[in-house]
This record gives sequence, C-alpha cells and structure tokens, in this order.
Amino acid sequence: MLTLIGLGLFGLLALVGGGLAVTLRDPVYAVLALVKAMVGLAGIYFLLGAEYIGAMQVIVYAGAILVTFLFVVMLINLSPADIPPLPRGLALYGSIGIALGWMLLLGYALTALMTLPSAQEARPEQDTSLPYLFGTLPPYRQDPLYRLCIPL
Amino acid sequence: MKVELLYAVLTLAGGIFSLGLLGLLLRRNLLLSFLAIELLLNAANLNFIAFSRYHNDPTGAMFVLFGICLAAVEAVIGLALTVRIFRLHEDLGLAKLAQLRW
Repeated sequence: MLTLIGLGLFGLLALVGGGLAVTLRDPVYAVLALVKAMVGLAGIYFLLGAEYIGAMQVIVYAGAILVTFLFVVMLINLSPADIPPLPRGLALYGSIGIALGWMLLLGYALTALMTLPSAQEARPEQDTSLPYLFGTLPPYRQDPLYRLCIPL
Repeated sequence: MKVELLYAVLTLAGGIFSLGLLGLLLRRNLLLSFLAIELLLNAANLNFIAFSRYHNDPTGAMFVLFGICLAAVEAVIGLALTVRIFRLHEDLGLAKLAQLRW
C-alpha cells in the first residue's frame, strides 16, 4: 500500500515534469522540468528495489546529461522568442491520436499480461523471499578465487 | 512484487512514453526534440526495471545500465551536432533543416 502511494507521488512528479518539458516554451525551463521528471523516475526505481539504477539515474541523467543540455542551451543562446508555439490544432488531434493508439496498445498489452506467468511460476526454483541482489555482494563470496579478487 | 503494481508501473511508463512521443512530434526545434527523446528512453528503462523486479531477475537492470550509457553517448553526439548546426544556420528550426547540405 505504501509502495502504491509512493508510486503515485513519484509518478505524478514524473508525469508533470514530462508534460512541462514538452510544453514549456523557454528551453531552460523545459530542461529543468525534465530534471524533475528524472528525479521522479529515480524515486520509482528506489521504490521498486533497484537502488543502484536509481542512483545512476540521478547521477548520470539529472547530473550529467541534463546539465550538458543546459550548457548547450546557454551556449547557443536560445530565447523563448526563437521557439515557435505548439500548433494548436495539431496539438489537439495529435493528443487524441496518441491517446487512442496508446489505449489500443494497452488493451493488447493487458490481454498479454493476463496470460503472463506469475513470478513463482516463471522461476519456481528461486527463493523469492531473498532480497533483491543486484548491486550487492553475491552469496558466493566465500569462494577462494573470489576472495582473492575482492578481499572482503 | 504483485501483478497490480506491475500494471501500475507499466501504465505510468506508457504515459511517459506518450508524452515523449507527443513532444517529439510537436516540437519544431532540434534541441527540444532531443529532450523528448530522453523522455522516451526513460519510459523504456522503466519498463525494463518493472519486469526485472517482477521476475526477480537482474538482467533487466543490466539492460537499463546499458541504456543509460547509450543515452549519455547519444546526448553528447546530438548536442555536438546541435551546436555545429546552430553555428552554420543560426537557427534550429526543423523545417529549415530538412536538407543536410546547403
């Protein structure tokens, strides 16, 4: 339940950030809104148990890629007057078209997911009570060769 | 991870992908199109993480690391091209960039 609430909050952050990034006219503000969306996505990665990926998302995306974007926006001196406004009719019909196509795709995806095997059925031999192991030390750390490489 | 949570995350990823696609189609500026492409890549990464968590299999997380590296490289090359094109044309409107020569 707490995971679902956190998913809603971070998802709202990501969706609002993404929506602002594709609609704001000032490029600097658009890049900053995308930083906000990246931070929201990093929160979702943390919620899903992929802490390493979440940290990489903040460091690489929000820290490196988008700062490079900001640097280029400052370098080429784009002002909001150079950016044409979104075409009004195209925005309306484009939104409707993308929403319809996405709903069609979602229908197919949901029917495919209904027949998806559950996690226990897919990997019955694996003990799912173990914590998520990516980015942590593996359990074979007693192996002598492994101890030779990483003496912990 | 329950399958309802998987549905919620997949729906969210679909929404982010739709936003990115909308921005890519509607923005008539090279730099802002690149921003929308970053959004698309992130929606794909979110799908990978959701299925990786659902199957308790770290292969999806590996793919996401690869994808993040790919996005960084793509952004660097694209931004270098953007600066160069701006020096040549003094403009980043996509309508004027339909031809690569002249």
